[in-house]
Amino acid sequence: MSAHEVTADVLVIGGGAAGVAAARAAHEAGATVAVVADGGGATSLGSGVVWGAARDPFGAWAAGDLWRVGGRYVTVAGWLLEGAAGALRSLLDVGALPLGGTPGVLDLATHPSWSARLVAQTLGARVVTAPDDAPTGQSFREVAVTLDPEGAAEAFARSLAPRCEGLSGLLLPPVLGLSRLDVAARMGAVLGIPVGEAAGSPGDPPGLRAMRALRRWLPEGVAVLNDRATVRPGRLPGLVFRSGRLVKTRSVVLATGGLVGGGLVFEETLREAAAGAPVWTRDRRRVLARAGAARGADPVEWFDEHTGRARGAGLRVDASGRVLDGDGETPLGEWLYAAGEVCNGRGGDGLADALADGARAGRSAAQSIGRRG
Amino acid sequence: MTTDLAHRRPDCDVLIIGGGVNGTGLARDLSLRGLRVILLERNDLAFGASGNSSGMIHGGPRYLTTHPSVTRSSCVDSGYIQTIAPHMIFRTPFVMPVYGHGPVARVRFDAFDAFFSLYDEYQPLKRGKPHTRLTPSETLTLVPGLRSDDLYGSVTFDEWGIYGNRLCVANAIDAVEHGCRLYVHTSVERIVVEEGRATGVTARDRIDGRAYEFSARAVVNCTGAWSPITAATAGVSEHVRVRPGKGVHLILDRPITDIGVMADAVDGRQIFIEPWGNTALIGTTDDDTYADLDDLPVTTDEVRYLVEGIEQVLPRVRDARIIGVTVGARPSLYAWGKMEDALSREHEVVDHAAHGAQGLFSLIGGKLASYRMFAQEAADLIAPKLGNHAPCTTHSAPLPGGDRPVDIDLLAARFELSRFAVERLVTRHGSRAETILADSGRRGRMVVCSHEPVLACEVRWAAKHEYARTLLDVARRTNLAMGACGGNDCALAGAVIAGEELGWSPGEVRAQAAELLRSRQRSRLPAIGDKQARAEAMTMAALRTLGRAALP
Repeated sequence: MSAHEVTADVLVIGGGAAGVAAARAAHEAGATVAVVADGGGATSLGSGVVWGAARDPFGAWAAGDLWRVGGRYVTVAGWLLEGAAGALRSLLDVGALPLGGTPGVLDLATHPSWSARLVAQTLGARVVTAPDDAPTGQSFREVAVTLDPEGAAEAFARSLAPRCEGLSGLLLPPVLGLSRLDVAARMGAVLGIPVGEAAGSPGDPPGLRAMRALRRWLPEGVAVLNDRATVRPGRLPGLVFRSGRLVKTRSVVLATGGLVGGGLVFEETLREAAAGAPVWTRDRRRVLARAGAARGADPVEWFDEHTGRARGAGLRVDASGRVLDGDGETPLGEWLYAAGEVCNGRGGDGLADALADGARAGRSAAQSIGRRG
Repeated sequence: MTTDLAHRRPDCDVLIIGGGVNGTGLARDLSLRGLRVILLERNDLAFGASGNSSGMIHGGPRYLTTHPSVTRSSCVDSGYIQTIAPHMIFRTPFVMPVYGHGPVARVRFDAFDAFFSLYDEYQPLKRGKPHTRLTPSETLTLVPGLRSDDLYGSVTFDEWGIYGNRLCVANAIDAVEHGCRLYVHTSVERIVVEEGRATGVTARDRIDGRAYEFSARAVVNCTGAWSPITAATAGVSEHVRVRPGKGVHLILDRPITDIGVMADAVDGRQIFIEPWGNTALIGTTDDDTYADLDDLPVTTDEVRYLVEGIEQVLPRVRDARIIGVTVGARPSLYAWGKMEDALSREHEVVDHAAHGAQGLFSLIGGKLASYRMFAQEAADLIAPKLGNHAPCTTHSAPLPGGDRPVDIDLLAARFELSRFAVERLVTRHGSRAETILADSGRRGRMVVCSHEPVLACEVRWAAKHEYARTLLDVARRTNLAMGACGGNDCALAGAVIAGEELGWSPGEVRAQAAELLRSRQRSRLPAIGDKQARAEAMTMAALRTLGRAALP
């Protein structure tokens, strides 16, 4: 096998929430798995909060330090969110703060959406003035990156210690680490009280960390390739990689994302980027376009302005996650699956559904190999 | 309904309905003459055509052959506006490329040349430079990237632009500082006419639902495209006839040209692209509209029409992203059987005394470029009827911030800000930029919206001193969320700051931010192209976060 050749039973295209879940599920079903990732998509641009009111999207997977089910979170501008099925540990679950105590809210000079005053008002908390040498920065990311180096979070916590006496917890804007996942824990250990973040907006550090945490959650033995693949339906193995790499595989899961991730591309018409599979409108009644189709895809039709969702259109899949052809019944290929935002009409919500979708497609893809022999 | 409006001391001398450029211009004129004025605006200042125009305060060479009086009055008034609001004016030279070969092209070129020679006579009125004739190579030096095959030459002409939103706000604020009472988001429900005389109005606050009754000695309908609807509440709508013409503009993510460029659209209409701050503006469509004026739709077709037209002369327009779409309805004077372009842009003051409503007036038609003259004409008619014979001073009294030039470098150094940020602030506020900065702390000088850029203190100022009541109002006054990120980075921050002034709860902050994002996103919907779809989807992601219901 040459350096440019990879063999995997299941090839997952996309390294966001759907892709990681698919890879993990396929691996657990006994398949050898490779993931092709090409930059960050919607997963890394999340707020870090996993939506989904009632259920745990991971089922048996809700383990470890990754998510905590059923939290109560406060946003940077002070409104409360409830029913988040889980969040990265460093987002402070304000429902879990010790009862009877007074938490503190740090008045850090950073992105102007951070309002210590509003947050404190909502939580009945005390505004804590930041020391003069506290890190500052116009964006949350700018501040977060200063807390990543070894010892930086501890030093910052020590400078806050005199101001936190008697507090039951400390809430900060979403700045607790850009690449490290343990900044909140390290600060909490110094201060002896729970330390955590408020939830912000897409692009803030908690979302970027969620992506990082997810990637770490991939099982050992799953190869991750930084590349871009093109799939030709009907010809397997026939994956063309941008790098010229050849992959021998028996099943493909498209977890390429929606418009944000680049799985769906709008150029005159809306098309699916990796395989040129038919794209359907939200109402599941109309095939919008196949690759090479001419104009006529009016975004007014497929952008859902009422829900504010960009995924009004995409691939249509059957119950097992197989991509369907333009007739809406025949699978495009026995081996082609899809999950996440590249699919259309998903009623669900962000990461939670992408994970559930991904797990289903990954499992099906692995099992189908056995059936096909 | 009977009221006692006729029998009590009037709340004001003149009640003006409409906060566009005509309403605010008239409110300022009458207030400066010493009359007591109330101004009611159903939506926000500059909500309609005034805030959604190309901002050109030109003579409209377009009207030179059909309505030369419009060209003249626009040029004269443009000169005055430059005097009273020098800070919000910017010079925009235009190039009119001529394509083709041989005698046909030469005749076309000479025709433009002759046309602009005629226009040159008006140029001194507005401090414009005379036109020039350029060879193809000179043209391409001036506008690199212009389509060069078949280029015969070009003719240049000189125009001026202004920020329509800020012009309305400046007029309104000056009126207020001279005693006018201003109510935004307050809709007139009925113009009260008793015994053949307009005695006041009943109105309702559209945000909190509060009902008002205002008595007045005169009522003036300045509601632009809405004016027949307003007039209908007094039963005189048949005397107030306009043909609303929808005008769509596209905003690009960068000024892809330093010089305005004219182009022919597919139907032969003239359209243009002009640099506009750190963006570029493409305009304009002109189509009859029968739609809801509070919520004018823009279609994908209109966007494609404009982009395709500009692409004929400037192919690189396809490389830019469309980050905003504006739409307004011109209050063109009514005529049957004419194409939209051929409708008159003249203005007219209608005295409804002859229609059984003494003391009621309607201002119909008009252009941004000649708003001041229109207001003066109306005030010259109305003020003497109320026993006021003070002269008009709006041509010489500076608008707020227009009293003296500002040293941008000095201000930037003093407050440790980028020159660019200060320059934009001064463009919007003139000499008052200094007050805004001086009133702010270090956090007040943080950049909220990095594209424009908009400072925290300017957002606060709009909420505190400029009658903004919603975040969208703030955005209209500051250009917040008009940049390439579509508000992703600044909507929530803007809401937090405005909310501190306006007393918003966290839930209200969330709702206001979501409303701004939703409104921006909706307006861009028809303009989504391959460059924009991905960014748009990210805005959607922000909306999803903000769209969550806050807990009580």
